Amino acid sequence: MNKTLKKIIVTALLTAPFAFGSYFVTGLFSWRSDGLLQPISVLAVWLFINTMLFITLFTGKTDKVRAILFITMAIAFPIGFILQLFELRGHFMTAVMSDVISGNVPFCHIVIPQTIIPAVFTKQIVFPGTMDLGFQHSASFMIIFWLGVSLFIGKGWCSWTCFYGGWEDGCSRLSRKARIKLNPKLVWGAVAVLLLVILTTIETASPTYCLWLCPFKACSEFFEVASPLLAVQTVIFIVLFIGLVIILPFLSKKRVQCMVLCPFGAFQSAVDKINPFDIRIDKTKCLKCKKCIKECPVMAISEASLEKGKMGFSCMKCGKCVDICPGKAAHFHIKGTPVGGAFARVARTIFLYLAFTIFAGIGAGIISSALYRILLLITTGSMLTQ
Amino acid sequence: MNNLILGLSSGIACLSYCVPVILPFYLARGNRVGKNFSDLLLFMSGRLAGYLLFGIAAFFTGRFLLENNPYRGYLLGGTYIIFSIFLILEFFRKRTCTARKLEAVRGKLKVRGLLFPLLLGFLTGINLCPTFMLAFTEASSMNNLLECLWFFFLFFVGTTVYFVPIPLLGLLRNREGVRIVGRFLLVLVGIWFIYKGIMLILASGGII
Repeated sequence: MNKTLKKIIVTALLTAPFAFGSYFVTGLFSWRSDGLLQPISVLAVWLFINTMLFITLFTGKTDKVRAILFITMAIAFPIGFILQLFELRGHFMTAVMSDVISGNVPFCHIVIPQTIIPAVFTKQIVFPGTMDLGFQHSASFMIIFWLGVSLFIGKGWCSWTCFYGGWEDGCSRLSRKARIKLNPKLVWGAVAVLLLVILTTIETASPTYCLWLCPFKACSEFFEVASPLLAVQTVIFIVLFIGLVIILPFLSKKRVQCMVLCPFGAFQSAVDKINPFDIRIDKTKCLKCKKCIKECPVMAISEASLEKGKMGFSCMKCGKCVDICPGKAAHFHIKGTPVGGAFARVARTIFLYLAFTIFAGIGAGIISSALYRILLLITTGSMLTQ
Repeated sequence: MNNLILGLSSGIACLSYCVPVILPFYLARGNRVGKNFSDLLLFMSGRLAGYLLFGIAAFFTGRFLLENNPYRGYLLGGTYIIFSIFLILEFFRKRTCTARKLEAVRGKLKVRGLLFPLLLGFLTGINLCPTFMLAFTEASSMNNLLECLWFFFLFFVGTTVYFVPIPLLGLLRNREGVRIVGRFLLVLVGIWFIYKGIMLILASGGII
């Protein structure tokens, strides 16, 4: 049998269990709709995700395929989300600040550290997230989902699950080479932001990150600009989005917002200890070319970490270093097992199954919702269902 | 809660700069963990005494300057902003710890035994850093002495959290990272207090 054909069959067999599982995870089996557009959208996304897994397993390359999925999800998110808000409220802006504090807005994962840590000290939930956009937008769903994902892929959330991260991942790939070099110490910025956000949230009993620092307001929902203070906050959101999510990633080829600002990312770095996967360098194969140090989008690799064969705390398991390493020294790794060889292939395959399943669980709904709106626009001339 | 925030923000920086001096002093003498803790306890008692002394001073300053003062909001807001700017400037300054200076003169002072950790703690406790002055400003706006003392006690608790594991040595594994986070936090807390100062001034002027 032709070697390529044999590889295709083996890859198809490896993809098949995921195809079966994702049939349930994406909700394809349970659609209830009078029209055809929704099932077509979900089916298309199911095929898309499965094709991507097939390509990842077939080529042995992880990062580029992951980026396609990740960026697609980030672009799709505002399309589905903003229109859904528009249908519910009649506009996409949060009416007043008290809406946020009373939880009358959807819950997002970035709020998790400033919800659960202050809750431990104050017995108060500052961001209940109870808006009627379904269970998947509530605090309880997001926290349960986060716990599950953290157990399976840990900090991998930031490269496989976050529905905002694709914006800067995409922007960081737009230029061919970095025009500015960032100081590696910046990776500690997000830890400082996390501490500040937790402490100020406890002090003010309000979600300070959402009120003051979230750049992704720019692609989800704004406050209604009803006072000078709200105008200042809106300017901050826009400046942070343009600066940290678009311009600096474009110039530096790094995911700047994730490294410097995102409190959830910093929190996830700490939580990462509880999951079984990490990326390791086989020191015997390392050519010391430092390509991984230069290319890592979150500056997780330094000469010191190369010496140890381990990644820094900001590693998001995107797989870029594994793909580009000329000496094939970087590997996906299950803690407690040897680095490299057959163990690495098994670790990568298991990790991909988990990461793709999690992506299917959250990303499929986001992408199919956006696709549905686009199909609606094509067929009816409007993106709204009502 | 401001007291804890200030304490925690300066505590990281204080720890990362002062530990290299305090640690050899207490731990390199080869004492057991129990003895290290008792030395640390003496040091912390000295610091607490310094903090509480400042609590009393803050109360009387507040009484003298702020009580019935029509410009109270402007005064407090302005002080917040000024000390916050100093706090942010700390980011750029090469810091040295009071303990380091004290270590240098220890031989000359010839203070030994239980008294030295206590004195060292007291003198580091009255270190006039911008964070401390911000806490002083906040406390001086309070209405009674007990409230002021409680404020400084919690400020002390915020800074102390980081010192507790010192005898266990483990915290120093990534001192560089701790120091960088501490410096970033100084800037962020500075910005937070500038915001609070501005809001206080705007509220005093009836603008918000």
